Amino acid sequence: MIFLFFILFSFSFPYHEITIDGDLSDFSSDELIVDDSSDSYSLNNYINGIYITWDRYNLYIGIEYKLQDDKGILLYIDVNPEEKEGVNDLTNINNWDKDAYFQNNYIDFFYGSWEGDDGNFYRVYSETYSATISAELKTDFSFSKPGTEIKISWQELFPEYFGKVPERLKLSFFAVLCDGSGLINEDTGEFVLVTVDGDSDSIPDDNFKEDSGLRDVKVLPRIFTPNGDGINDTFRISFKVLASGNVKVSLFSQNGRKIKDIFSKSYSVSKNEEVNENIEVSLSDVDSGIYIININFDGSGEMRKNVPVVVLR
Amino acid sequence: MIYFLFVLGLFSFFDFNSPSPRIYSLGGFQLNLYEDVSDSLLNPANGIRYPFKKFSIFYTKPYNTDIYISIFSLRYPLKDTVYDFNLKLNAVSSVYNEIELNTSVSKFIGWGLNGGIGVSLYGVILDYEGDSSFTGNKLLLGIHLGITKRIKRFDLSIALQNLNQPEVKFSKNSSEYSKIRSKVLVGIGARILPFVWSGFTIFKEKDDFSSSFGIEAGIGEVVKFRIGMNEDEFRWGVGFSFNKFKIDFGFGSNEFLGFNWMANISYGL
Repeated sequence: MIFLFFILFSFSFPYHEITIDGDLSDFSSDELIVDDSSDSYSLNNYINGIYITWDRYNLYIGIEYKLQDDKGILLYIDVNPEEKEGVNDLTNINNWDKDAYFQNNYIDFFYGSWEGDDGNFYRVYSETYSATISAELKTDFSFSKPGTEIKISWQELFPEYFGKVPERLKLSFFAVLCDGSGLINEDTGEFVLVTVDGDSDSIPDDNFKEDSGLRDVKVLPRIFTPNGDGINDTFRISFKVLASGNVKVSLFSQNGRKIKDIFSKSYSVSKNEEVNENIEVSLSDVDSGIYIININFDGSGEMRKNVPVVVLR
Repeated sequence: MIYFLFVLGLFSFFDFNSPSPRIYSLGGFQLNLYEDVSDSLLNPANGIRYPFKKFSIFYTKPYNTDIYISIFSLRYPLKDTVYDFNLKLNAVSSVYNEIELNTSVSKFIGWGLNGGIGVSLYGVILDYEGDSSFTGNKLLLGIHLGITKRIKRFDLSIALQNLNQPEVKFSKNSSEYSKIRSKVLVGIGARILPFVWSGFTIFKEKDDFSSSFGIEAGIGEVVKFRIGMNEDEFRWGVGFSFNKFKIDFGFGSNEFLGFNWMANISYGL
């Protein structure tokens, strides 16, 4: 009984969970952040793409690639690139020294695999020292989407945040092949940036909505003061509509009681089109307290997002 | 022994979290359900009606948002007086933290009346460096009053809450302001039959009403199953008692917000 009680304490819905078996087909198409498949089949060693997704507790990385003997692959990760924390000169690093030097990116973590083994995941401590950290890793070239899958917990990446992530976390990824002497420029790209915590709540955003017509839902600021002094009197709700349907935004108390409807609009969106919506909302007629903004999409698929906001007076 | 309990909340628009999975799963606000210790936050007169030494922990994460509510409660009867202590933590992750310290005293005051008075001190701690910057704090003082009286099969309750916000100071880009607010909440509840409850409240700033009802079925005191409705929200729950432990779960399904749950575990000291 007590066990059940504590199970409920930690209850949380996953966003998108990946099975770590080396088969990248369980990543969805919109989780492909680097698509380099156009030239791959003319090469002996190639990187087809990088997939990124996450749930509340883990980061999942998929690298679709194939290589021959005496070759390896490296994946470099830069945490919050604008902050320039980490190491950009890896020419003297103790693991996987491939004379890597980055002009604008400062590496915090990297993954390395040699000749298709499962590899290791490293934290970079200095220009000369890196050490492995715990991650679930699997490489398999026998699937239709061959490559490596990585599962690493946010707690392992950011232990100082106690299971959460740094506020406004962004991650930048770069994959490159290597041989015994250094990096191979045969099939390389650039660092690609992914926003993990766009709404600044230190919890990875729930961006994965299969068949959803609504994306990139943001409510900012999360605290506002509708007192007429011109500072944070209003907040903005923004989202992208990807399919035809009706979007309704309502305000609820934290007990689930509906306070008022804020916004309702029908969208007619054709395929491969998206509509950016940005709504400015003033709640001058509600008391101080915690409320839930409910954004509901009703169309080809139905989705909802509940975002807590705080009204201060 | 199997029994059934029917609960009817007629005008339930007292809009704050009922710190009880039992009340929640039976539809919503009830002043007269006093078996959960933390219910002294709702009606401070409840203490004398359930005068047992108990410690309880309540937890909920409303509608799977990053709102976290925890309440730690202690009930301690001493002679003919019952003392309740509640520590309530209400937080929006990384954004806002609210702490409420509540103490209430309850006793029989003559003429068949049970009375209770409680004082709450609310503190808000802000250190938010997100899309906008807020730092500061505030203190609020809340006063709770409750009176209950049983007349034959009628069990009448009146509860009042006054929430004062004597000072607010937040800063954002060196701009500061302060404001004083006060609001009064009044609630009345009646237990009409031994197993039928109803309740309503008067909230001076609201003029809308809602209804709720629920049914509880139990196998003795060991297992209790509950279902209820609050407006369009279907609710259900289950409670277990064994030895000195009592565990209750409340669940809800809101048409717009989705699934909700809360849990409470108490231990008889």
